[in-house]
Amino acid sequence: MSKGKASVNEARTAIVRESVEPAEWFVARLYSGDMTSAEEFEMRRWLDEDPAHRNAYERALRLWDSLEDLKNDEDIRRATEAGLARRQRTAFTSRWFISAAAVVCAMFVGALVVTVLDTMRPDTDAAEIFETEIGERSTFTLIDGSEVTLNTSSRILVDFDQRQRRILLDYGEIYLDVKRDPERALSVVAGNRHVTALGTKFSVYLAGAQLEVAVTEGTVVVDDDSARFPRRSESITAPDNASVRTGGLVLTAGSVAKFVDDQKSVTRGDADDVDRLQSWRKGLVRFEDQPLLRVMSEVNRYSQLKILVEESAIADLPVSAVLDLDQAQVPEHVELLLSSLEELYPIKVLRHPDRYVLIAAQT
Amino acid sequence: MSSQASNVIPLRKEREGETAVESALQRLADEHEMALRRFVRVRLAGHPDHEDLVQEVFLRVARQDRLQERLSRSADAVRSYLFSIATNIIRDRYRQALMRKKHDEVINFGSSMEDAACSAEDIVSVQEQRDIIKSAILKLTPSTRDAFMMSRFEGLSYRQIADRMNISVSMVEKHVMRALSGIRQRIDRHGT
Repeated sequence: MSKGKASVNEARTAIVRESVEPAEWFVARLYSGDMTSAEEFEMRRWLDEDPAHRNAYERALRLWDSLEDLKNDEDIRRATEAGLARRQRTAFTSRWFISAAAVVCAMFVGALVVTVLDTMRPDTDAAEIFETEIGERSTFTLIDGSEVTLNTSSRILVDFDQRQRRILLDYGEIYLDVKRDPERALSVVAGNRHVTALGTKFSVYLAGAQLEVAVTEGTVVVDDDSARFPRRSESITAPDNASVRTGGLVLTAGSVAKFVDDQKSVTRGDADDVDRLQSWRKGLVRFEDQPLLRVMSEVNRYSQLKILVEESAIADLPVSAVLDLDQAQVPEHVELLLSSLEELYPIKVLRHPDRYVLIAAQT
Repeated sequence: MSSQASNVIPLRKEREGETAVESALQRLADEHEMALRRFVRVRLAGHPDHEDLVQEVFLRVARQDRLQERLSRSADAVRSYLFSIATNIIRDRYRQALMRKKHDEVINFGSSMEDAACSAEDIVSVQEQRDIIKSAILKLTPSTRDAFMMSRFEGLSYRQIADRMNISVSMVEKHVMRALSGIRQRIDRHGT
């Protein structure tokens, strides 16, 4: 019962925010197979409320049904296969097995559909955009076998060719498990810096002017390079930079480097420090005696509902908290987090429909 | 309730061991009949057809080849399979009803010339509609598009999609919802 209520509430927020019709949520919910009797009841009531509701629902269902005709459409089939190939996280059953040639071909077509593929290119390389929305976290296998995980609200452009592997980090945070390839280094281009590796594990977080690189395994090189991410036409004439450049900042496993504009700071910690920084991959972020402002801005990364710390008097208050990232979108969870903060610290929470405001509690 | 459902299913006994198929179907009914009934009730929004539709789903399942293999997958995959069979039956019935209606109209009011013109136009608009929907799907954001396509075109369950995309099941649900909404908004913009 309570589960049903929570998801109905959640859907309502989405309905208001994204101009999704309730009918569309009901259809999506219906096909989950998890609809509860409370939801069925609620939906019946909604349908009976207004003939327009029934029409909207019928319409959404007709749309759903009509898609059956697209199943055999050539473009749809290819895009679906490309999607499947991209998201091959779990073991394939024979039914989902797709030959390597088909994968390359399907990815080529998929990229053509979504993005920026130049028609003159050979079909062995492909540029693709991957992105996550607020609160989402997603892992993809790239065509070279490397794996990339995108944290909340992140966006990358993957551009591989025979000579180099490039990932442009537009915004957000990624974790990379790079497949070793001595012939082709992999560079993450973030702002005006390149983070280059041959085969290693590391994360890159770009937030405005601030860049953070944390190395889990192996070595990466960070270059101050003002060269912009080259377009296809430029890269043909660009000097060969497939090998790891020397002269950059070398970071070994356990290192965390922070860059703000021209300033940089490097801490050489151990695996645990890096692990803590990358704990978002496991869906949990832990804070120990961190300034309130920092903790809240971290929480805001994962949630549509924003929390503002309005008084500087409490901004530096050291707080400890654990954030379950998969729950950060659920208003009840955020509420729980805030009310426990209220209990433990001299903080008062003002609740507005679209945001929370934290002020110092009156003593 | 469940035993009643499996009793009326004529089994294809010549290919697979009788008892094995029967018990597979029995298990199917035990495990999923409630969810399937709810699904059909909600899909038909109270239309009285829902009782016999549940029967027909089980009937079709019983006629499938490699039944045991299909039913030995995870519960959410089997459920999603049942839902897609139910969806196809509902869709077929809806089309048949439309055809009948058209036929009646032709008999009662239609002059043949006008009918011909009208149906040619219909075919064009169906093709156009199809193209609009198709490009709308391909223009969805990558995560939404992939989740939606895996659900609608590959028949994967939300759970299977969530595992593949390394996201939560409720996020998959949101992607499906957003996809439906995105496609609808594009159709509306085309003024059809």
